[in-house]
Amino acid sequence: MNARRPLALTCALLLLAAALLAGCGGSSKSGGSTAASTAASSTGATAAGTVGRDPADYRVAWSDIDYIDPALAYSWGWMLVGQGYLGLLGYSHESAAKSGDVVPGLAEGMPRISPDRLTYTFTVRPGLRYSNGQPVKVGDFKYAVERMFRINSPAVGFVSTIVGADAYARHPTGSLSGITMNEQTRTITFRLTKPRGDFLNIIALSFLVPVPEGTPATDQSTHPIPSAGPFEIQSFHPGQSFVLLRNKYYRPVPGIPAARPARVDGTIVKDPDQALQMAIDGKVDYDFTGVPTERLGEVKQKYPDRLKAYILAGTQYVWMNESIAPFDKLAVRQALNYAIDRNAISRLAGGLASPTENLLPPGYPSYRTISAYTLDIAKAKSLVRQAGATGAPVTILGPNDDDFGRKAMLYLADQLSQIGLKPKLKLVSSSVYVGTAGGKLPINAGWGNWNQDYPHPLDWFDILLNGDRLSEPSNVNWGKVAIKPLDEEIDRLKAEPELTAQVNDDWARLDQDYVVRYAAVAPYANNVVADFFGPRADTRCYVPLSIYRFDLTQACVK
Amino acid sequence: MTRFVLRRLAGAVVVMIALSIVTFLLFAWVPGGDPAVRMAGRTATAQNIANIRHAWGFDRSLPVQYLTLMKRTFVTGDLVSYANQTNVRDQIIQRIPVTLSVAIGAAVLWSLLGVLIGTLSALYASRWPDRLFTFFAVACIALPSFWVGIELRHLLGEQAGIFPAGGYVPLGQSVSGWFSHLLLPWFVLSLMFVGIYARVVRATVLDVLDKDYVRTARAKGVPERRVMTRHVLRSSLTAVVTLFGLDFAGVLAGGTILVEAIFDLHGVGQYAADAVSNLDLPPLIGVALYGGVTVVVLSALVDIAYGWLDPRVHVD
Repeated sequence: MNARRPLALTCALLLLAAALLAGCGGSSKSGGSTAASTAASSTGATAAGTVGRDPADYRVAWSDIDYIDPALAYSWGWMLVGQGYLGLLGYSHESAAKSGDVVPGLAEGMPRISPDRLTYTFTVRPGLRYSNGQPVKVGDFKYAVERMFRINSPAVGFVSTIVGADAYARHPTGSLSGITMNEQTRTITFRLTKPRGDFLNIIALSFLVPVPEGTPATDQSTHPIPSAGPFEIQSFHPGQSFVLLRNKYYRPVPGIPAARPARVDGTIVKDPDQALQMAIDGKVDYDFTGVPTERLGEVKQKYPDRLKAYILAGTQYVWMNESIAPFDKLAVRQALNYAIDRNAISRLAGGLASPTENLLPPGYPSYRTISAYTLDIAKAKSLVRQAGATGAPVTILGPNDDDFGRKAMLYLADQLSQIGLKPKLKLVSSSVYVGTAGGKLPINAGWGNWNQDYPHPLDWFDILLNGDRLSEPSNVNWGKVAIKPLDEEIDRLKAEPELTAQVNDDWARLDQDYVVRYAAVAPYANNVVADFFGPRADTRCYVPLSIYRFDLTQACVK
Repeated sequence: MTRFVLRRLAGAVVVMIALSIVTFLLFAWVPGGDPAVRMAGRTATAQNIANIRHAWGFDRSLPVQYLTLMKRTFVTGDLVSYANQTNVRDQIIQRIPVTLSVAIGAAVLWSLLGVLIGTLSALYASRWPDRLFTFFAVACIALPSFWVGIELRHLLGEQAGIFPAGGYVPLGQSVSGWFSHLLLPWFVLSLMFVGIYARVVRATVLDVLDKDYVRTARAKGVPERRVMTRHVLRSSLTAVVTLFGLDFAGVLAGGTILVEAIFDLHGVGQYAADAVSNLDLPPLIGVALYGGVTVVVLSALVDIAYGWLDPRVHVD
């Protein structure tokens, strides 16, 4: 055989490989500007409507969406639904600082609340239309709530205090007795079984937006329900894409303006790295998925003016099981709080966490900074010794697929061993975390990560720490915290219909009591989101909303 | 041949039943895997959870739940995901072209390169090209493909911009886009197989080169090219065909999972990965059945191809 031929083939192979590497499709890069960035926690949007250009087409990369049906969307789809649809009340889009404020949406004003705080009466604005031109009827609001029960919405628990809700949950047919309405006077009344201080916040959620009567009680994500809000959802292809259009029938109300983009083209991108690259390359104008920790430094350096970071209304904390030793002792719980350096833990997130000792996130009117604990290993050791808990075995539960959570629990385990406890770390997948934490295994402490449903302290204390709710099936009070005086205080504050200055002070005191006086939890960081924009986007109209992230309705381009 | 096909079909049915039962039972027993609690959300009351259990049939016995799942899969075709109620069959069908694109491209690459490198390595046995190819093959096998994929994507995609940094463009939308988006995934997926095939082909070619019929052919003056293609490679490839069939079946049945995750290709593999992380049983059943059918069909095709390559083998 001619020995040169195989050699020639080899060379040809190498040349071909080189040609392929050199010649194939690429993506364009755009450089960042030299303007300084601000990792601002809030950005005023008073100029949002007057800066930049309204885009004909705003392109976004979005995380995987569960549903786009308002009754079912509770994950990343909720962020879209919450901005597109509107109910009797809504959350202000005026600025980041005000985005937790409840404002009238499709209602003429805030409701009339009865003196016993059990009845809320709204008057619906006249002449409302859905995005398909169909008139909005008063009955549609009631139908939407009834549909929540029929479709087994994950938000049914929010409306369980409406009169007749229990019976309706058992047999979701006919009419829900606790909601009455009058088409002539355009009024709708909600009657509650007991006062609920966060009811207005709940009404403002997207679960209760009106839907045309007769909308099937099955998931309509792929047949989007018409909207009465700033956007309509034109299409949704699960796992692939979605399109929002400016709703031409929407009449702006104070605090909730019309959408600036005529159209939003969304691509679902599961990989945050890819989404980031799409934004860097200008293929999308906004990357919703969040800048990955390992690329934050690069992005900050190269594209500082396209990066916006803000503190989410979310807190990571350590819960401690008070029903079993050693955290049944106050001294040991305090010791844990003294054993952790919150600044050090936050650095583990690579810039995407802000240290805290509060359970409530900053920005809440009831937030008062707690500064009770500083790292003090000697003191922590002494507390453990005093409690007779030296050498006590402690099982710590953490996630194996949340990078920051995993690192935080590894750090915690290390610190607990320094103060004389014997930690054993158990890392599980997020998909079984809730079941494991609330299950029968004796877990002593674990990772908690709570993001608000709505900006009200009840969404924190009542769910995470109220001992009266331990027996509920969805209980996430994994620490089994049951402090009677504080439970009673929660119940008392639950009845307050408004967050007055006094009520806010009371909530702040509750925060202090749980964290300091009883050391029932050990909050350590608030989550920080890093939003990144493509070169075309004008970040001067950036408004991060308290619940729904970047305000797409105000998105603009250069 | 008819008996062969019927036997294989019967075998496929048995495999699918076994797969579906095992998958179902595994997830029925996973702790914290109660789909009703997860679907009911974090404000659920006991009644909500009971309603969901009843609506979805989770309050029935395990055998009834299993049969309901099978009915929804094969009869009514309305098997839906617990996580987002999308139709499982539609999702898999939608994603098959992506997985096929990845698998076929990688298979072509690893077959061509594996055979070429293995053959060259055999022809230069014990000389420096052989050592170089051997080193290359071993490196291909040893390097973790997911790591290589991440690095290549970062370096060549995100940093250098030579390749797209992930994503998929349908062939019908743009041929060049489809090709450029799949080059890196093909390379990464084929890497390990190139190494294995190169080693296997090297060994079989060396073995065949020593056979009497090869010496006879050369002695008769048959051109070397014909000796290689008609006698040496054809005999050597029987082992490769067996390997290829099983490897390709495995890749098509879900072996693309890592590559699809790294390059954000919305294929069947990524669908399976998402279902596992969500503990979402219906997609897992769907993917398991799809995988089972794929393996059975492809292994049958391998047997037929084997029979064609080696006349001594009868397929019946």
